Amino acid sequence: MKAIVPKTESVVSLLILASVGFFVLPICYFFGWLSIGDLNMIGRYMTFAILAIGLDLLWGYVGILSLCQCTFFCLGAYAMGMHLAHHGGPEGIIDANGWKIPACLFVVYPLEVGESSSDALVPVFWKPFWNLPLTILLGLAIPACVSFVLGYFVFRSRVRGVYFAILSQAIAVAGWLVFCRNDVKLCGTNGLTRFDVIAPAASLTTLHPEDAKDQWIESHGADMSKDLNGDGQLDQLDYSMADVGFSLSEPSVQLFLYFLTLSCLFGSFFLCKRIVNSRLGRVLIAIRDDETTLHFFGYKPYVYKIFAFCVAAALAGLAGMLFIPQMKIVTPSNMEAVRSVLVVVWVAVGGRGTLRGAILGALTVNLLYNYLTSEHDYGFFSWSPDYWQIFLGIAFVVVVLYLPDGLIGLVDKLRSKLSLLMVRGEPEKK
Amino acid sequence: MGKIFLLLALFSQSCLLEIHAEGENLEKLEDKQVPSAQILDPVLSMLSDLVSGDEDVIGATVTKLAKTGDPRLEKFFELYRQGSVYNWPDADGNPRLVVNEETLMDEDFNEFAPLLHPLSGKPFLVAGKQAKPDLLDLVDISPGRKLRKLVNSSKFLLRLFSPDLEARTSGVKKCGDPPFITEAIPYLEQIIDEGKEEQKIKWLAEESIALIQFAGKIEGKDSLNDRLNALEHLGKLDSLRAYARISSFENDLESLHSDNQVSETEMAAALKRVGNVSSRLAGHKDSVELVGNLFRGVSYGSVLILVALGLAITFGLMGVINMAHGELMMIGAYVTYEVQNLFGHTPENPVDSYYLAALPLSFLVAGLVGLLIEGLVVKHLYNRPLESLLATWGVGLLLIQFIRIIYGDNIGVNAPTWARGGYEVSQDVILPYARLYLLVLCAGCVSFVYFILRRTRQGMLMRATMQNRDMARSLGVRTRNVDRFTFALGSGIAGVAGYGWTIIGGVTPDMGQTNFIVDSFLVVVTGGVGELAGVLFSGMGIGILSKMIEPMEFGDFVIGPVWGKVLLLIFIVAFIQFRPSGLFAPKGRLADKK
Repeated sequence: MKAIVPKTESVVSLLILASVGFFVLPICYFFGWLSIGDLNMIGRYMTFAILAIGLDLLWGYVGILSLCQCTFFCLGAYAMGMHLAHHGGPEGIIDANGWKIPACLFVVYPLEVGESSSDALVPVFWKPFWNLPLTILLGLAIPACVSFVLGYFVFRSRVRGVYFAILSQAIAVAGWLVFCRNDVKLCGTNGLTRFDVIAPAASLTTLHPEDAKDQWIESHGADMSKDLNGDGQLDQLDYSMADVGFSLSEPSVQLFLYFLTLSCLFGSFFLCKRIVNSRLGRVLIAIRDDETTLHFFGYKPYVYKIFAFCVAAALAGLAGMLFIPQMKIVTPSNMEAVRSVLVVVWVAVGGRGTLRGAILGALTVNLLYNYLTSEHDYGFFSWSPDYWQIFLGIAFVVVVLYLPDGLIGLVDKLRSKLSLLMVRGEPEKK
Repeated sequence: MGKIFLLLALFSQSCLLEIHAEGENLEKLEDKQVPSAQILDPVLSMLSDLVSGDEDVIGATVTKLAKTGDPRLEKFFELYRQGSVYNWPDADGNPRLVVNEETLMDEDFNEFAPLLHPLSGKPFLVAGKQAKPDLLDLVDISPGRKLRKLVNSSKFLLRLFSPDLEARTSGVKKCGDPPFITEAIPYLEQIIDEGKEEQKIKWLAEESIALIQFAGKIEGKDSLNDRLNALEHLGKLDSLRAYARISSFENDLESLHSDNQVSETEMAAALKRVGNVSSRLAGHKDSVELVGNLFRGVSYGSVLILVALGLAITFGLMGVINMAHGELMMIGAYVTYEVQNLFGHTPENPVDSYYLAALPLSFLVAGLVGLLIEGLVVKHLYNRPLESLLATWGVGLLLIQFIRIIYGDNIGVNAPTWARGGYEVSQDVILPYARLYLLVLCAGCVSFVYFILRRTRQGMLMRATMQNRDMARSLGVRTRNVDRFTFALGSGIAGVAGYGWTIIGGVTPDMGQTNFIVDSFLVVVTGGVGELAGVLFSGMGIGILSKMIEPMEFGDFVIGPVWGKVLLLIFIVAFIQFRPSGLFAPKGRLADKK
C-alpha cells in the first residue's frame, strides 16, 4: 500500500526543508526581503504542519480518520491562551484572593444576581495556568487525557472507519458549542485575547500572582517610581504594567518563536518517524491494513489505536500552544467542525502516510490560502476571494480522485520517470 | 401502503385548497370595510366631533370610535393621548383633524408644523403638497386628565370590536394583563352573554374579567374575599395566566398584613386558599408542559427522520459517505425559494399553491444534482468510504460557494399562510400547523421510500444489488443503473427535507453543514445501517430524548440546548458501547461487509 521510497530521498527533502526554514527565510528577513509579519505567518503555518503530522500518523499509518483534531489543537491553544491572559494587559481588577482578573475574561464574566463586580473571582481552573512549565505540561496532558478517555470508550467497542469519523465530528461540534458559551468562563465567542508578554521570570517559579508581585517588589526594593498607575502603592496592577518578560510585539521575540516552532516541527517529525519505523509502527500499519487478522494474532488493536490517538492529540496540543503567541488571539471559531476537515485536506493534498507529505500539504495549502483569499487582477481575469472555496472544493475532488498519493506521490512519480530516462540515456552516452 | 400514501396526499391537498379559499374570502371582506375615498370615511367624519370641547360629547365619541374596531385608530388614540392631534379649521371654519409631531423653525423664529393625516399617518396633502401651516393656526384639542385614561384604554377596547378574529382574540386577552383595562368589563360581559362569539373568546373574556378582579382593580369588588373568589374561579378555568400572577398577589397580601389591615388568621386562611389553587394550576402547567415537550420531541424527531432518510439510503444501503447530503437539502430549499418567486408569493400577496408545486420540483432538482454527483465523483469511490467522505465534502463546498455567489448569504422563504398559527388540541396545548405538516411530510416520505423498496421491481433490484452485488450482476441486473437510481433517490429525499425545512427554519447557503450533517449521520449510525426502521426508531428516540433533556433543571442550572446536545452525544457514545452496530444491526453475512 505505502509507496516504497528510498531513505535517501526522504533525507534530501528534509534537508531542503531544514535549510529553507533555518537559513533561507531568516536570511531573507535580515536583508529585508521578508517582513517579520511574513515570518510570523510562516511560523503559524508551521504549527499547522505539526497538527497535520499528528493526523498523518493517525490517518496515514493507523487508518483512523479523526475529524476532531482542531478540538485538541484548541485545548492546547486555550491552555496557553489562559497563561498569556494571566500575564497580559494592564487593565483589569484584582479579586478578593489577590488574582488579577484578565481583561478578556472580565468583559464576559457572567455575574451572579446580586453579585457586584467586586465579588467576581478568577475561576479555579484558570489558576494552574499562571505557571509556564505547568501550562506546557497541561497543554500536552489535557488533549492527551481527553483523547485517552474518548479512545478508550470508542475503540474498545470497535467503532471504526467512517463511524469513528462521524463520531469525532460530532465531538468537534459539541466542543465548539461548549466553548462558545459564556458560562464555561472561557470568554465565549470573543475568545481569549489581550496578550502582552511571554515568559516573565515569575511565571517560571511562582504559582500565585501575589508571590510574583512580592518577587518583583523585592528585586526593585520597593522603589516608588515603579508605581505606574500612581495610586500610592505597589500592587499587582503596577506589576502587570511593568515591563516584565518578553513582549510579544518585539520582532526578536517573534523570530525566536519562529525558530522554536521550526524546531518543534522537526522534533515532532522525528518522533513520529521513530514511532513509525519501530516495531510498534509495524503493528500500527497492520491495524490499518487488516485489523481483524491482527486481532486474531493475539494483539489488542485498541491499545495501539488509543496510543496513536493520544500522540496525535498531544501533538495537536503542542501546535495549539505554539500557535497562540504568534496569533495573539484564540476564539472558538478555531475549533469549528470545518477546521478539522481542513486538516485532513492538508494531509490528503500533501500525501497520506508519508509524514513529509503532511508538512508539505499544510504549508502549500495555507500559503495558497493566504494568496488566494485576497483580490488579484491578472488583466484577462480577476480573482475574487469568493472563488477560494470553489478552488478548495475542486482541489478536494481532484486530489481524492486523481492524486491518491498527494503532492509527494506526484513528485516521486516524476522523479522515478526522470531517473528511468536517465538510466535509459546512460548507455547512449557511453 | 401505496394506496394509503395516495389517500394521504389527496387529503392534504384538498385541505390546503379549502384553507386557501377561506383566506381569499377574508381578504375581500377587509377590502369592503376600508373604502379608499377618505372624504366618505365614516370614521373620519366621526373624528370631527372631538373638536366640540364638551367632555361628555368627546367621551361618547371616543367610545363610539372604539366600537368601530378600525385598526387605524390604534395609532390615532396614542397620538391623541400624547396631544399630537390638532384642529386646523379650513377657510369656512369647518374642523379638520390633523397630526403634528415635530415642528420646523425658519430664520425669523416662526414655527411651522408639517401635518400628517390622522388615520393613514401619511403627509396631509393640500393641493398635492404637504401642508405646513404656522403653529399658531392649529388649535390644541388634547384630552383632559379624565379623558386621557379613557383614550388610553380605548386603544385596547378597539381590538374587542375588530372584524379580524386574531386581533379580537388578542384584544380580549390583553384586557386581563397589566395594566388591567377595567373599562372593558361591560363589553367582555356582553361577549360572554351574547353567545355569538367563539368558545375560545368567551373563555378568554371570562378569564380576563376574573384576572382583573383578582388584581383588585374592580371598584367595590376589591376586598380580599372577592379577590380570592376570583382566584378560585381562575383555578376552575385552569388559567395559566393566573398562575403567573399568584406571587404578586402574595406580595400584596404580605403588605396588607404588615399594614395591619389583615389579621393573622385571615392571612393564614387566605394563604391556604391560594395554595389550593396554586397546586391545581401547577399540576395543569406540568401536564401542559409535558404534552408540549412530547410534541416538540416528536416534531424534532420527524425533522431528524426526514433529514436522515435520504442518508439512510445513500449511506445505509450504498455505503457512500455523502457529506454533500446537507447541501442537497440546501438545494431543495433554494428550489422552494425559486418556485416561490416564480409564483410571486409574498406575505402581502400570498399564493399558497407554490408550496405544493415546490414539493415535486425540489425532489427532482435535488435528485438530478445527486445523479450528477454520482456520475462525476461517487462512482469512482464505491470501495473507498473514507475517500468518498472527503471528495463529497469538497463537492459540498463547491455547491455552497456557487449558491452563495448567486444568491448572497440570506434569502427569505415565506411560509404559506395556512402554516401560520396552530391547532388547539385542548386548552393551552397548541400544535403549530407547520410542525404538523412536517409530521405528515415525514410520514409521506417514509411510506414513499418503503413503497419503492418493498413493492416495486426497481426496489427489489436495489435490495438485491446492495445485498450481493456480484450475484445480482451475474443474474443480469444492471448494477450501474441501480446505483444511479438509488443515489438519485436518496438525494431527492434530501431535497424534500430541505423543502420541508423552509417552513420552520432559515435558509442559508451553509445550512446543511451547520444544522444537519452531523445530526443526520448520528441518527443513521445510532439506528444501524442497512435498515430503514433503524432510522425511524433512532430519529424519534433522539428527538424525544433531546427535547425531554433540554428543559430539565438542577437547582439554578437549566440544561438547555447546548448541554442537552453534549449529554445526548455522551449518551450515544455510551449506547454504541452496548450496540456497536446500532439499533438494527445487519445480521449474518451482511455483518462482515465493511
